[in-house]
Amino acid sequence: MSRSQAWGIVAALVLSAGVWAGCETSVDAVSRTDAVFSLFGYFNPRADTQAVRVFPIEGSLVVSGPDPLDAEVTSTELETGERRVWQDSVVQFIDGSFGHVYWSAFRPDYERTHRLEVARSDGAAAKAEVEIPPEVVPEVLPPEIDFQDVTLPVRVPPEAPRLLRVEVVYYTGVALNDSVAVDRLETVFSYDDRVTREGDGWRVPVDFSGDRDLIRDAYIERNLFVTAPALISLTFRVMIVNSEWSPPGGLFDPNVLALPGLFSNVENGLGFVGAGYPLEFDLLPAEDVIRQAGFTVFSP
Amino acid sequence: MLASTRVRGFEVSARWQFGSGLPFNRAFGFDGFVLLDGPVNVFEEPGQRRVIFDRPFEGILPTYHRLDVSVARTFMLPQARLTLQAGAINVYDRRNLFYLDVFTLQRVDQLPFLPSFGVKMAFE
Repeated sequence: MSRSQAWGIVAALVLSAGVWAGCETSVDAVSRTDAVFSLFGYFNPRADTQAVRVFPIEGSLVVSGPDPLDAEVTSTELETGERRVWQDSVVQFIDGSFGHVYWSAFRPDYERTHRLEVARSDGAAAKAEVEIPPEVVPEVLPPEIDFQDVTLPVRVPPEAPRLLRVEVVYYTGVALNDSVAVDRLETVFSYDDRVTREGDGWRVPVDFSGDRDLIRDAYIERNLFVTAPALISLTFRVMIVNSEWSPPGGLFDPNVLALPGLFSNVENGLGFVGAGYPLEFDLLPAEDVIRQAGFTVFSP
Repeated sequence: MLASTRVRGFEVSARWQFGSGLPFNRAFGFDGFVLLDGPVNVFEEPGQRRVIFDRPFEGILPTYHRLDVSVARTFMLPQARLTLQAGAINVYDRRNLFYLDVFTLQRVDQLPFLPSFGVKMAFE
């Protein structure tokens, strides 16, 4: 290569460099979105105070401190037009982080629809419409006994849109006599996967004798061989929720549901605002049924 | 591209590198997440921070290019050769991205304009 050719190449390099030197060097890692807030909470017609957690959608992952949030939270009952302004509260959680929980002291009526709106001062707002489920009263049906297999069926009226967190809580012990029990144990069994919907409503077949076997195993793990645990109390718990409170695939998998937008009813935002109420009642059957299932009757 | 030539006893060389910007996943922003799987008390549940990602590979990183130059001259000494060198990395001080932390938006660049000088003595 001749000297003039070489210099020509060098000149071309410098010229190219000059052109490219003026090019854009910034990188925009955050794209624009209309979503302004993420909301999490639920309306509870059995609670005197309603609350919702509000996260601003920010341009940085840096955790914010207890700074005020540019947000006004209101709820409007669509049937009556009644509007409420919710109060902000900055909460410090057990992990030391801060968060904004807005609340309002009222008890929503059953079967009403509320619009929750979280608005910024520039007018951008996230909204969610939430229908409160109807009031239902579950019914404990007569026990079904097949030799030592005892089932306690619970029926929830069909007006309940969905059942959530169906649980049976056994509180047992080892009876020393009729009124003293030691080694008390609380065992919670989830019945979420055993709920069936039939013509006359939801049916939860509580496997009374099967649960007894598992409780006995729990005692064996504690090196206590208890043939017939004393049944101190038996509680049925369920949450009646609106139909929207239904995750994709029916599972509340935090790794899946944490994906933005996958389980959301918030317009111009993310998150989920549901409606529902927890129910809890005594499921303790008659003494002969308790004995039939293999428990000891306990009456302190 | 690489070019070198000799001018009046000086070895002059230049190297220019270019790379088109690579795609990456942009974020819409950052918020928090609370798992509502039952009667959750939002006054007590802290939730967790999360990244709201845009569609995959919607972002393009800036192009990478850099010009390095060097000049060297060798002098013959009795029983030795002395070479003096001078050069510069990233002559036009281009801000070339080394990495970008999408979570903190912290950007780290590669080398800025960096002059260098050297002396080499070779004994025969």
